[in-house]
Amino acid sequence: MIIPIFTGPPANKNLTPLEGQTYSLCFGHAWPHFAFDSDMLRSYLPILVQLILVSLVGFAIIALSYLVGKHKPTPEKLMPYECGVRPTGGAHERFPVKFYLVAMLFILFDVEVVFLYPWAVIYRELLFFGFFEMLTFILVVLAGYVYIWKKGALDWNKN
Amino acid sequence: MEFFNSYILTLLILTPVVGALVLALLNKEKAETLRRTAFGFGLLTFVFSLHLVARFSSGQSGFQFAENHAWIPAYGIRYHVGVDGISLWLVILATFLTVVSILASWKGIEKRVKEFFIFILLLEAGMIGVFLSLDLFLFYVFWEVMLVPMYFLIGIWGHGRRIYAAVKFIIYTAVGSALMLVAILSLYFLNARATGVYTFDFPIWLNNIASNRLWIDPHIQNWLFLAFFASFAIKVPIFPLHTWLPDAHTEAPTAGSVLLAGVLLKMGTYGLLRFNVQLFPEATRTFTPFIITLAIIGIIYGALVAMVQPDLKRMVAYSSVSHLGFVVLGIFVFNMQGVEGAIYQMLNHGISTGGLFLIVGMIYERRHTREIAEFGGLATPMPRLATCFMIITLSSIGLPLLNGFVGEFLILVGGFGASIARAKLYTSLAATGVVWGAVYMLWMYQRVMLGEVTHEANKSLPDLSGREKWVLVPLILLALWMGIYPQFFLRKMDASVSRLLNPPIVMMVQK
Amino acid sequence: MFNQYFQPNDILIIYPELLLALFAMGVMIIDLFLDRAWKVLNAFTALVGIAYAAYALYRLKSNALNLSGYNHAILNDSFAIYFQFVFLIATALVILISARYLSIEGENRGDYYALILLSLIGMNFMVMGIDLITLYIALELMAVSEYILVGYLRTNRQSNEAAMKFFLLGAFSSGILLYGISLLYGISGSTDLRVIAQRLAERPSHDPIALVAVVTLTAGLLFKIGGVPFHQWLPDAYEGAPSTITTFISVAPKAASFALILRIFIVGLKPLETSWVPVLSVVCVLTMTLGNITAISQSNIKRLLAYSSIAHAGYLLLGLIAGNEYGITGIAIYFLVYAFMNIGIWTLVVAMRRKDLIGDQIQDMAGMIYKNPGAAVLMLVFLLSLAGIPPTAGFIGKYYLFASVIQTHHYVLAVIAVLNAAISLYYYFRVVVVMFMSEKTDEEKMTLSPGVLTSLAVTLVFTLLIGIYPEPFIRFAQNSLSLFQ
Repeated sequence: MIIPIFTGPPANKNLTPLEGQTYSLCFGHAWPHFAFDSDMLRSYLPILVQLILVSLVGFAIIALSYLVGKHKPTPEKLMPYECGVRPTGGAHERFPVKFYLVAMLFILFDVEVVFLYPWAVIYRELLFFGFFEMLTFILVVLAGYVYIWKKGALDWNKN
Repeated sequence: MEFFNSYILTLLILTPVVGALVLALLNKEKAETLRRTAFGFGLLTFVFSLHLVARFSSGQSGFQFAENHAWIPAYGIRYHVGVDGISLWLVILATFLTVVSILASWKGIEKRVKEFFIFILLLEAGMIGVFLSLDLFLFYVFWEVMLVPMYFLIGIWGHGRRIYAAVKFIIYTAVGSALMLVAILSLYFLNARATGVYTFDFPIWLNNIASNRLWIDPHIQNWLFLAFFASFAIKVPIFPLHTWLPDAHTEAPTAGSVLLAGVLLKMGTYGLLRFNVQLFPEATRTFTPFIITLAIIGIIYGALVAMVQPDLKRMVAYSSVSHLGFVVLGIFVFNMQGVEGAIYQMLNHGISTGGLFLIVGMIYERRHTREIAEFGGLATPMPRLATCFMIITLSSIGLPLLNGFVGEFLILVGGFGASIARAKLYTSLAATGVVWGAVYMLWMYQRVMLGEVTHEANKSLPDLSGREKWVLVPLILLALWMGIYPQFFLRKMDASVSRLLNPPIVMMVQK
Repeated sequence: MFNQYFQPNDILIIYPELLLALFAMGVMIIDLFLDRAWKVLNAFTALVGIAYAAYALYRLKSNALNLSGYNHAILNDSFAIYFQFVFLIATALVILISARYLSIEGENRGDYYALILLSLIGMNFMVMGIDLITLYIALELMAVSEYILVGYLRTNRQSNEAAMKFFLLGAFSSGILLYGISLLYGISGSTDLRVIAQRLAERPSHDPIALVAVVTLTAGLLFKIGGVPFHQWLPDAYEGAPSTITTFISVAPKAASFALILRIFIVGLKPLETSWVPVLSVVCVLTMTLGNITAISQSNIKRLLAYSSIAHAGYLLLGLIAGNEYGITGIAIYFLVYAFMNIGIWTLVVAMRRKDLIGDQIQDMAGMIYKNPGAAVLMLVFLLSLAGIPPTAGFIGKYYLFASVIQTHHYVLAVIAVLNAAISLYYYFRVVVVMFMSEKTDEEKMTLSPGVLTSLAVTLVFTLLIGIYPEPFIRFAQNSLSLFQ
């Protein structure tokens, strides 16, 4: 069943996502018509290509190492590796909470560093402002780094 | 002297506040110093208020000694105070009874003396402020401010179920005044919409109403009238809103009861007379039969319930319901005799009921009970107290040559001559209240004071002390003066009351 | 060095916030190098930062700058500056009372102050933002800092529980809010509130999508101010959080959320007024009534004040419903007043925390007038102010809110509100009864640290001053009227 909610003027250049489209609240037909617009598909084509390439490379690495490498299996080598933790036994095992801390810190700094990529791409447009902006940002990250360092979060042996 | 005349009203409000501040700085261990200081400031305020009487010009109907300063100019809120024939005597009553109640609490209050007198003085400032304010915002501020000290007086120094009584008092009053606030604000905006001037000034409002610049739709008038009425009727109290009163009066300490009955109840009747009647003339006409009916029910109901009370103080409390019924009746008959009688009766009630509470307090201090059944023949050990009690009882009943008679007589005369439907029937019913009053008061007096001394403990009760005489004698003298020569008091009311009854088309407003 | 994304003006507009950020990081780092005995320096650093920011804000107010910046995402008008002053005052007062409390709880660390300052930055941007994305990010900065602060007492189960509840419900409500924002973007194609208002005005008034957007926004925002039926988290969070943090979140974030609501509803959703006024009226009545009635039966002073603050949120909604000059000035002055009276009363609750006494039961205050007469009188003043009795500041605040709805002829609302104010007297005076009319149960006197004393002195003076001579404060609050431009 299709319940038309908005029927605005068609083919409007400045369409906003929900405007000017006939769509329904019913899941079977839930897509606005513009989802099948060929322009849109074309703009996503590079992503599709990259997706395929990445998968191929991934498979290729595993396949190549299997085909080319030497195989000398021992029981230890055949055991699945999981961060040095014994793979069998009860799932409710206790292990050091420090792992969480390290994982969290890693994610925090990792995500912060990700900002450097878009910044680098438009660095020329941003001029000096961009430079100082990133300098400030790095200083803030640095403050956080000093903080966790002094707090002893990076010291594995500290209680 | 010049300074005095122009700032006397502010002085009246501020003196008790200064007194309270001075008390706050004194050592709380030195009870005698505290009492004397409080008494000094009370007396000073009273003397200032006498200056008002001396300089008040009787022929003038408008507000005298007026002060008008900007307070919150952003919204047209002003500090506007003034006194006219209606409020003059009520201010005197407040200052006078404060002095009396400070004297009366000399021995009765043993614990937390300092706070007690601070609250009494703050209460006095609030009471005076209510009677003097001519800006409705200011009026509301004083009206609310007064609640807090009274709450503490009942709650800390009261008897028995004091906290219950205190909370009941404050919730009842707060509900009423909350509704009044809505009405005040509505009037403020109605006036602003009609005239373009944002003001809470009472004379300006009256002026606009009189000159028809501010015309309020009768339907809206009825609602506003009821909102004001709710607040004042609770305070008076008009039957059936009186249920807070017996608790509050009974549990309060003597000074609290005196001020509650003597002054606070008058704020209700004063408000009805000043605001309800003047601001909403059409609505007043609509509601008059209804209010008169309630007043008469109050008169008879109060008297009947008072008759069967086993507790002395509760009896006096219910007698207040009955007496205030008379005052309300007097206000709503709308003629000179009625309204002047009502104002006069407000003063009488302050003196006679104040006196009764004082005497009950004195008996309580001696025997620590208020059960009528516990007494009997008290006149034998305490002849002087019995005499004073007799005079005040008679003044309360309304014996000629005593003050009560003048008030009740004027109200009844006014009632018979009123130009409202069934006036004679109403007044006849009200007149029975006088009879009932005589019955329960005299019967009480007989059971308490006359006959043989029935209880062993009553045999050796001491008679009035020197201080107690100083408390009662001024009251008795006043009762006599007001009964014998009422003209002195009535003369100053005449001009204001007649203007209230026949408002001129446009009044002169002093800016 | 400048380009289309950045103008020299921009950095001046957010100069106070930059300073605050610098000090927030500074406190955090300096703390690492301090001995236990010198931890009180953290509070000083934070206070210096606030003073500096206040001075910067004052300069900003007096300079006639074009205060719109960052591609029109930020509008630092006098409405925003007024509220920022309120936040700065509230935060400074909270920091004053924190040092002693934290050392009693054994959690005296610098990150506490850093988090408070970060939350302050979030609030400042909440009142400056005119773009929904900026507003949302600011809101989250404030909220995330608060979640951590509520659970700051790591070894205290109640504190942990409160933080978890607060966080889960807070995140949930943020989600709803974000949904509303996305719908608004969907129908208007912009996140700028002024553009949204234009687009909404062009649409039919009973547009279902717009209504859904209003409902979701209302729900998300009501959560932040504790409006019924989204109030359940509030008493638990207030009770469990460290008392100083409760002091903080009961005033500043509430004011910030309200300012945000004003900005969104008065600027952005003005064209849909006919649809949100009835909804908010119902919410307002429920909030006042439920807050007041539930407060009556509380025996814990923190919970009592929590319910009272729900009721106060209800009164404040009156100003929004009226939506006129009286209403906006009313909300503005109310928060100034509320900052003083509420922090005052919470300061006393904080001061009651002693080594062996949690001090959060009403009964713990029994006979306070004998033990600490000064504290009892202060408490009385603050309670009277909360109840709205003249001549305290609370009366001025209530007066404006009640007047605003009467001006717009919402008489029924006004009557319900004043009756609620009368009910509230009952439980405020219950505390008074315990303090003034019961016998003392222990002998231990309160010891007031210099910080607490300063905070009490400031709150008392302003609670009385605003009540007695409100004129200059009203003029100050009228700055908030720039909202209508």
